Amino acid sequence: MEVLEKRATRGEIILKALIGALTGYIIAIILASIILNPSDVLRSVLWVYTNTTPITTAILFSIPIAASALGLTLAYRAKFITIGAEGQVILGSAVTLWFIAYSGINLQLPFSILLAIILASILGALYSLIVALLRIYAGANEILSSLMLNFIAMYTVNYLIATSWRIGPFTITKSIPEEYRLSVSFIIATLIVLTLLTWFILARTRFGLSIEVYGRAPRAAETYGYSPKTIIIGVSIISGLMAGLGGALAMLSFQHHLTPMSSPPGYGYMGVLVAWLSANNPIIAMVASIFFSTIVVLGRTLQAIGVPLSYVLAIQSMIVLSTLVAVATAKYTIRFRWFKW
Amino acid sequence: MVDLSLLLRVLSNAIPIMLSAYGELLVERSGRVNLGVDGIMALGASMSVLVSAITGNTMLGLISGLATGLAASILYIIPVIVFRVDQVATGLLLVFLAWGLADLIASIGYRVSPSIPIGSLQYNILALITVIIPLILWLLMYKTWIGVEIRAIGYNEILARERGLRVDTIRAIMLLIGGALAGLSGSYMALTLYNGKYFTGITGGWGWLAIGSVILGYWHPVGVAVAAYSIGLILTLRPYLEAMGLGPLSISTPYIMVILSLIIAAYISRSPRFKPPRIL
Amino acid sequence: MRTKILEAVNITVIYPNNVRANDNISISVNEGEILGLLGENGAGKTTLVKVISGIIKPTKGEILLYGKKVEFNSYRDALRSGIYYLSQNPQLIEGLTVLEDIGLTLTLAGKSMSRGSIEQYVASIASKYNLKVDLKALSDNLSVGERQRIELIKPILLDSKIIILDEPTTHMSPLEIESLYSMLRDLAGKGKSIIFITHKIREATSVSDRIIVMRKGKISGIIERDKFDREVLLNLMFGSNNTINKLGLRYAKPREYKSNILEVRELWVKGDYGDLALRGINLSVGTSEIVGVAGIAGNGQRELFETLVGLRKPIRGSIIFNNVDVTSYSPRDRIKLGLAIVPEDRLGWALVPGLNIVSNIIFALTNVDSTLKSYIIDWGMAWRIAKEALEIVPIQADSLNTSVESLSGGNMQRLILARELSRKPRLIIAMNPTSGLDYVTSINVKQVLIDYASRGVGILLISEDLDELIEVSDRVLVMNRGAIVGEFMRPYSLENIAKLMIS
Repeated sequence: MEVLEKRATRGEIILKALIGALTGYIIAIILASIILNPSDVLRSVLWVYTNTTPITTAILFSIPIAASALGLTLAYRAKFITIGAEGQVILGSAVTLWFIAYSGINLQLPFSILLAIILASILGALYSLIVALLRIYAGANEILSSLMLNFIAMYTVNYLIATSWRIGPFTITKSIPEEYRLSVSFIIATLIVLTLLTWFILARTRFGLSIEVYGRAPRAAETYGYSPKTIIIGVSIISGLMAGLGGALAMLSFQHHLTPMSSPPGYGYMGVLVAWLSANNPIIAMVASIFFSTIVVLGRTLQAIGVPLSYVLAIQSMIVLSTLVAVATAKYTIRFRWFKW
Repeated sequence: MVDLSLLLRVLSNAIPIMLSAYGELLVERSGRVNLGVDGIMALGASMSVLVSAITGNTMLGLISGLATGLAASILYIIPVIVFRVDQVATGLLLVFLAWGLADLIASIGYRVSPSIPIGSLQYNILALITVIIPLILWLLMYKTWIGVEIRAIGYNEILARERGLRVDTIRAIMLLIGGALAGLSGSYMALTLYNGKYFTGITGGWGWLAIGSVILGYWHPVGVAVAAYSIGLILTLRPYLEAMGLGPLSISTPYIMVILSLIIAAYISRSPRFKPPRIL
Repeated sequence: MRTKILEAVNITVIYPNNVRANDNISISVNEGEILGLLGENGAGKTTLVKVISGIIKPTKGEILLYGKKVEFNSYRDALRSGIYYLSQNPQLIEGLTVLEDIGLTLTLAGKSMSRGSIEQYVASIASKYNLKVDLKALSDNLSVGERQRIELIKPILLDSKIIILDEPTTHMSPLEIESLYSMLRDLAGKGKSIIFITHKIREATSVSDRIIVMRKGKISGIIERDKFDREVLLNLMFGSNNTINKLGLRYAKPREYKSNILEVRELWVKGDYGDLALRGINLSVGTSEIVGVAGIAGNGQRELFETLVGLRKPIRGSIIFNNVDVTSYSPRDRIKLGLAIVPEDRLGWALVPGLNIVSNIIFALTNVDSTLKSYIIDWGMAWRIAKEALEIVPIQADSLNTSVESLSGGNMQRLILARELSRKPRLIIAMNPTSGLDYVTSINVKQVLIDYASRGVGILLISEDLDELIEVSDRVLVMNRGAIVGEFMRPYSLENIAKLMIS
């Protein structure tokens, strides 16, 4: 086998990416259809994309995905491959729930929400900072350590849900009271602000330039006066902050309470997928987040006809995987030869 | 006082981790890291339960788990080896894809027969295998030229390519073996540890622990065996730790251990005598 | 009439960036001859032999072995057909022992041997050609010389018919070069064919039976041993009415060294693996002075460069730059004091691939230059500053928006110099600034250094190219095993410098 690099135009790459994404989506839907009733599956898909209710829900669902993804575009551009958004989202929503429903701290309404959000963001940033510190001072690879921290976050929150936060005979927590819940318009505004902010950091600030330089040529960055530590700590804090914020907003806008997680809920992981899908471009990441949350909505509909909820992440992964492969076909020419040992 | 049943439980917990870890060891020695292990395990578990339920033969179930793992690794080989897609992305995508597919396959299972009555599989044979595999792998890697080639590819891919080593072929083969072993490990979990049942999140992140034990064992066949046994021990002791009131800490112990092993590995790798493969 | 063992017919290689490295080249190699392949850097010599040895696939053309067409899909295929390629910078796979590395090559060539018999064979070859190697050593900690010896043993073990040596003398001392020549003559006498690549006419004429001269991807002449002539070869290398003789370096009026801009005292530095890389280095560079550091690669030059730049912390000693003790300063603070850095790797160390020319200029200025020192970048000003910088040393590029990796090596180096000089430095630290550049460009680069020295800038030039050092330096220091072992002034004695380099 021979892999040759070739030059691809931007248009060619975008076209192939779109074809790849669509192919992945179709394959995933067909797989589900084979196992279940195809007409039921198709009806659900149609329903999601032709009604306003599912689209509105999708916009709500997109906030933890988009917030994580936007932060990660910065981290990934600095080649800091953290997967920790999942744990940070979980912790962000858990601390928000705690602050509003359990802490007993009563403030005036907008302030308590604001404080809860700030608290969640800080916790997310701190949790993300662990990964950065482990990499800088102990040489621990960030991919695996952040993954492990996700499990630790999930099991810790599960433990809280099962013990001190539990109400009644079922393992379920208290809910966020009606008046604390956030509206769709607030979420849309936040989405736009976060996207523009990320874009601005990347394109217009010195920190953004240092991220680009460090990610592409760490040696050059160090030699010409940038501190790798500052850059890694910076992107880890920003990405953690955003993921924590995403968790808080998820709790306040649509989750409202917590139930035990047998496997990760996946909003942070979806953020990771979106960042990859968007090639770390903030604007594309925002659009892709909304697209991905339509799949979350679809998944909930499909659940009623017997498709497991975990299949949502599978559909999304299929989309990203086939997009990445499609983009690769634009970048490489692959020639196969007869296999010779 | 040594409780024999406790020892057996440690062994039975260590076996799935060890099987996956040895597959991953081969993969990492050839310079790739397949983060998809946990997903492949889930897929193997789900498929083996389904096949066992339909055929009523656990051995057939075990084989089908292995075959599923082999097939799933192709989903990694095509993007990463052929199309040069980022291996971390592909690995993680494979995990999510395989988790979902595993649950989907299980949903057929529920319709085939609501409860699957199969007796648990004896782990004696597999226990024996986990002792033999490290020996075979050690011989392969350090006593044969093909082993030298595998390690060479893992140490320096670019140079290996220029020297005409069969980088892609060997990696693909290692990935196939790795996938097969992960699939086998998953079916072992379902058929033996959980008495022929599949449920969402069955792997409990043990695939990650397998990857962790490759690092903890410092990419050496014997080291990996020791690492897998110690993680098996911790997993076995988990209920006791929980009973002691350690709460979330007890559940998190194995994951903390993986983080510690990352730190230790990073420290050791500063010495040229103990060079780890370049995987990331 | 000797038999033709290998023919390369109409070889054309076009690289992805549309560079025609080989343009319809045909050569033949006879049995038992030493064929010199002469040409300046970038003439396409390495590309041609990489095609012959299966490492690069030609865009067009074919290879005939004993008159029969062969198709090599990788170096391994060539190896199995009896071709051995020894690259300019021989590398062994780190992590393996020397024995394993040799055994691996044998296995690839289809001549697998047991560890015991490798040891035996290597011992006999080693004593015959005076090539001592330690088979148990790890490949990582070997010097270039040791690596080269191992790579020279391999073709003999393999009994290769055609041995290709790509600039083998770069890292060799005059004595080692002599023994290489006699080894090559011995092998040729046994019917092996040797392709010897060099850019030095002296070397080509002293060992070859026949010389093929390449220029700009084409063959400009083939000359038999009895017609070797320096002038003729020079013309073939650089074109018939070559401007080379007129292109000499211009020296300004004699310079005066007033004070020391850089002073290094008793510098002790650890290497990557905790071994001592620098052992008590003392050196100084005056204003307007060019100080050359000579030495065979791997004797601590890289560590010296990194320590002076601020990437490596010394365990003992001090660095005084511009009358400030900068020993514990970061690279950034040293740059602020007037340091210009020209690293040996252009792409990835000096320049950032994937970013355009403007970003590549301003990234190294934003955090040291006061006009750009805000948290938000004014891209309009950035473009102006980039344009100003490129007036100092102009480059050829379609626009300032082009990505740097599409630039030629020469243009990259000019861009680096433009950027570094735009900061108005007091000291330039450069490492192998002309490596891989063609003759004209390397003259340009050297001229820039000389011009800046005459304006009062101190220059520390660390280089593997002894000719270059002698050409431009006011003083040459010799480095060996992490220490300065000698200091030379004009007029230089090449012999004495070379001796200290290998002692």
